[in-house]
Amino acid sequence: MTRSTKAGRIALKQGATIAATFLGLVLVTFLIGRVMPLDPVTAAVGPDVSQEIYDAVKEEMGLNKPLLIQLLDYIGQVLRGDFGVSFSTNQPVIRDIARVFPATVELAAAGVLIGTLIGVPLGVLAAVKRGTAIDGAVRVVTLVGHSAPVFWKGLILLVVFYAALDWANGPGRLSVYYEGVVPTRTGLIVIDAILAREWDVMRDALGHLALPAFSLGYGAAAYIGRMTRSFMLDQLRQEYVSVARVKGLSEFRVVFTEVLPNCAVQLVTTIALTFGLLLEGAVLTETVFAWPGLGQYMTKAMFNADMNAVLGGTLVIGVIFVALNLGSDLLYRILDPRTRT
Amino acid sequence: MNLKFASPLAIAVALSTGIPALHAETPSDTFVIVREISSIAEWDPAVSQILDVALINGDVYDSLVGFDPRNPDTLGGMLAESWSVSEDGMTITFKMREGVTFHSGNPVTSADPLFSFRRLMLIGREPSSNMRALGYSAENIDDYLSAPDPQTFVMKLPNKLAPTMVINMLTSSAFSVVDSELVKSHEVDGDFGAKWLSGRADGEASAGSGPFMIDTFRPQSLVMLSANEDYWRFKPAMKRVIYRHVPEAGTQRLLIEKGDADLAFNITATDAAAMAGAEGVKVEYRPSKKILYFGFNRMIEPFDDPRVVKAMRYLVDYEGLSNSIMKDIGTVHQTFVPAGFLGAVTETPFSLAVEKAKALLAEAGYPDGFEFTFTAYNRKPEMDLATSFQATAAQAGVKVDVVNAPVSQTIPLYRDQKLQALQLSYTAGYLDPNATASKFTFNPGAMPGADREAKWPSEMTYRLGWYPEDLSEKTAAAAQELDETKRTKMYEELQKAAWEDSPFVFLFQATQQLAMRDNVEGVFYDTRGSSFASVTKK
Repeated sequence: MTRSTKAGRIALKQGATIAATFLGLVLVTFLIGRVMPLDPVTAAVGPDVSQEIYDAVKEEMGLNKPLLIQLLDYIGQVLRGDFGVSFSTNQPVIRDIARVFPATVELAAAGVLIGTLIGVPLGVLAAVKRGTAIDGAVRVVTLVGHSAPVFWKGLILLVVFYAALDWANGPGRLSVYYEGVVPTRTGLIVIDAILAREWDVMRDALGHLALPAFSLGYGAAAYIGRMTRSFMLDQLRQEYVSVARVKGLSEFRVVFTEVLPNCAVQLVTTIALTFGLLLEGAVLTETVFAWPGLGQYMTKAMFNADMNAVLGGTLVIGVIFVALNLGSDLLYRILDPRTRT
Repeated sequence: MNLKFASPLAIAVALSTGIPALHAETPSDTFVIVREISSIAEWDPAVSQILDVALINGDVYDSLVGFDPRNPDTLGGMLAESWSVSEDGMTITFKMREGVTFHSGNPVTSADPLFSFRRLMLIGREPSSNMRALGYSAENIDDYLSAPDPQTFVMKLPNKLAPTMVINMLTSSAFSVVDSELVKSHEVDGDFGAKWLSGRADGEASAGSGPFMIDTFRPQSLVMLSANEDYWRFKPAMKRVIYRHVPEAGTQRLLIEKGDADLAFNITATDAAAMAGAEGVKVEYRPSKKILYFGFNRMIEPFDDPRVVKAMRYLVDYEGLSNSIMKDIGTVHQTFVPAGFLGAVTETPFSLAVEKAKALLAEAGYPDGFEFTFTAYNRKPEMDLATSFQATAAQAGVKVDVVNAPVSQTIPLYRDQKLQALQLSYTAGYLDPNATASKFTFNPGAMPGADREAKWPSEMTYRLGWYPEDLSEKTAAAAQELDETKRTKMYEELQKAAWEDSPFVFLFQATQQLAMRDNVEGVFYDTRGSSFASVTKK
């Protein structure tokens, strides 16, 4: 078999898996949406409307049709690139997602970056100093990160660093006086400000991003730290570590040039999955920090039985996970030579 | 382009070291409001009448009549300079104010209210219930509304109605006057421009003539209004009014205390009390048009017996709730007409009286109490009201199974008469007792000659299966009474009669807490309406 046919088969197989994943996602979300005891018609028209108007809107929304027809209609619509209109916002779902998703990406990226920068060194330290007071201290720090309620953590950060110390800006993505200063290009305000060379806006946006990103990043650091520790411990037990030490390599070099690179593959998966989870939208963090992201959007849509928005959002999240999986697969190949054959 | 700042390392360093914050008071010509505004979806006043939309549209659109926010003591002409009522009370003629223009520059003429009221009726969405209450229908509207010349708008009434009530109704957001020329130019398939006006996008013109125009709308995030420099009444002191969606109450409090916002709507009672002493902050309490109530289904046992419902009235700890859960957010109010409205009865004859309740239950054949399902809104303070009721009802042997559910789940069941008992609130649409009387003591199905089998899911009385023939007729008569003294008395009697037979138990009139910076003056917000056009910052 030639290399190109093999690659073609792999691509085909992957393509089929992705298509099946999306179909499954649509199917499950659609059915859950239809069996939930929420009424999209009432949510759309209000509680006090007459029966005639209620019936007319129900007809208009296509909810009188059999479930299977509704599902097929929806799939047909999505294949044409039309995700419908969200009645929670009265805007096309695509436009809504284009607005809220960059906010989430900005927050999740900063969060996972902080999580990695704190989590990995902490994990390495805990593994190397296993059983010592340092290991204990790291465990306490990560335990707090894991178990402290997000809501509480967010408010504490606001009270201390925004209200009392004035080190960071408050809730929202920008201060009011910077609203509308920078044209939207990527939707990531920090990047848009840089592109527009508006440094004040960039500083303001970073000042707003700091606390929610740290709030998320701390939680992520706790997870990444614990995983790093366990990956490191696995590696430290291996024979090659003893060999390296016997050869007279300094402990620093053993850890950072021998052991840590061997954890890279697993770490990449962990970090990618953490990023994926953060991209789903951190509802509580977004709520405390008035961050208009995907989490708040989806939650509101779900309570309103706004199925177009819920389905659209779910598909976006599906795409993210598939893309992250493919991305980390690709990284494996780069990081681990054994996977290349 | 210098992109080195974008490097992750630079961002990380910036984040980890903390950015020197750029804090300042909000700009002196900008009014920043923090509020939960995620429900705003449709902007058209003929399509949506949810509170957030009505609040903002109140500053974007003018009505024929309304209150001057600088001196809201008397109801006066807005787009109508004056009006006259025919002797029989069946025709109201409005003389339009000259020289007023819409935000687009189009002049305001009598063609505009005519177009606005017609489309309100013919679009037929929730706000059109106001037109139906006046006796209009899609079929008869053209026979009764006319604009004989650009300065005259004539409203003939299909049924006899108290002209004061009609004028009061015209202050509600449903009767906002839209720019007919502009809206018509966006009409698609006979939709009266509703699709365009409802789903507004950034940068689109506002179709009103009010003190502010909508500049920016980012759903579930931000609404930015800019001042209408040519506003006919006065030039607003604020150049911009910004509504920021801040869902969390604690966050709203921090923003006010730091001076990053001027007015917060959703702080908790505890926060409000704590904030009252904070530097630079003041908290004001304004009555609202919202009434909180319990409802018991007359079609489901044991509430088919009015004595059982009356027993429930004695099983609510009004005083205890008033000093705890409802402290500063509501006052005990036991009738459906909010205080401040014509004919409102503010007596509170009911208090927690377990023995009285037990006696009534024994009389009705339930000496050992009973068990029932009580559906309550899944948010505060509603959930807490239900829990308190559960505890007090238990004292009379009544077991209350509380089900907390979102409104989107509750309303369909309520409309279908399927709820045994519930807790909900109702906000009067306009400043007249008929706004609530028509909902709580009137059932169209109970009127003489009405079809008893017909469905009226928009009516609260129908939803609880209550067909009060006498009270329905009396409610209709009160709406028609031309003599104001007599009319007042009729509403007072209606409210007292409802205590005996009604399946509704009224508990509280909600209070709106306004947490503000102490340099803010001139906020108009109470049962009469709201506006930020008169706001100044010292």
